[in-house]
Amino acid sequence: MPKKCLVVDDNPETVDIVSTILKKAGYDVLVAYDGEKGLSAAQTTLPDLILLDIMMPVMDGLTMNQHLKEDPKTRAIPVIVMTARSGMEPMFQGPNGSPIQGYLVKPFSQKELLKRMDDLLRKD
Amino acid sequence: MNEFVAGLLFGFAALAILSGCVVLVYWIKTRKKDSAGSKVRLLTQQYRAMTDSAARDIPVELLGRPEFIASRMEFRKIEAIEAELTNEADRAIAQKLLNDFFTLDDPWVKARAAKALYPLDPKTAVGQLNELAKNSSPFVQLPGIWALGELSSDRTLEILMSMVWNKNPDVQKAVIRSLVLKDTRQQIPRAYRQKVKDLLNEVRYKTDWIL
Repeated sequence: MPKKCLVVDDNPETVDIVSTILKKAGYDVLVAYDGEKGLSAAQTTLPDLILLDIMMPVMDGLTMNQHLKEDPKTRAIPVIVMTARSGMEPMFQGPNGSPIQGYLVKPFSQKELLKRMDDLLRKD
Repeated sequence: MNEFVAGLLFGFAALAILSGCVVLVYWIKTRKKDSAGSKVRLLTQQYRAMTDSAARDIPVELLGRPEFIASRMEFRKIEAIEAELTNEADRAIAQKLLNDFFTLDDPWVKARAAKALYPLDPKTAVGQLNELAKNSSPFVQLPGIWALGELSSDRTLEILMSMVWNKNPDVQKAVIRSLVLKDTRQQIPRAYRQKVKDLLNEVRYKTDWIL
């Protein structure tokens, strides 16, 4: 059964490209263009993994991640943060208070993305 | 006879002291040079180690970046100068003090000083950063690119845009990252927005990078 991945980013070009890559790699892809819709999609669909941008309208990625970690239903979902801003890893919480497992600094390659996803899902 | 021996001994002693002084001055000079050179050597070694490593967690362009080396003494001094900028008189002194950092060897310190100098003397600051960014060595270019990305002006944007197709992938990534950050922070002047958007789209289609 294909793994379900939620992509949350306000940049439509990034969402298109990432979705295409993930679909080709065999993932089921869901998308949201801001943190609030992303949070709602995560709570209703419970994806296997979330790819999350930081700077977004309505609700930013940091806040969305906090809400995910507060909710017992979504707490364990691994999150990969995709951002051009480096050095923000300590601000993101991973499952059960651990450090964030995935932090990709843009620009990154398709290979890096798929490898990081594969590592997290295997661990999961 | 005794006077002759004493004179001879005195002469030897004076010669020994003089030679000692010469050796000491030489040692101090070479030590200073070596310490400047060792900074570059260290950065080169770090750069090589990072580029040689197949799986690297820290992007090469972040090496030595101010937010990762906040304790570096020169950065603290620059921050202190920035903090003191309260009136016109301070500005003139600050400008002079910041210019002194350009004589140092560390490219990150130069870039940080140029960033601080920008509000006081944009022409000199951008000139210094352009020099760093166009250097032949990536570990000198990367700090320049970082600081250019931190400043908002047509000129800094033009320099970055001209470097998007740089042959060194680490330099190219740093340039793209700076442009993406400027775009995210909405720091791109209106006249350039479409050009930058087109350029980033071109990068998306010509490379396998996700921006």
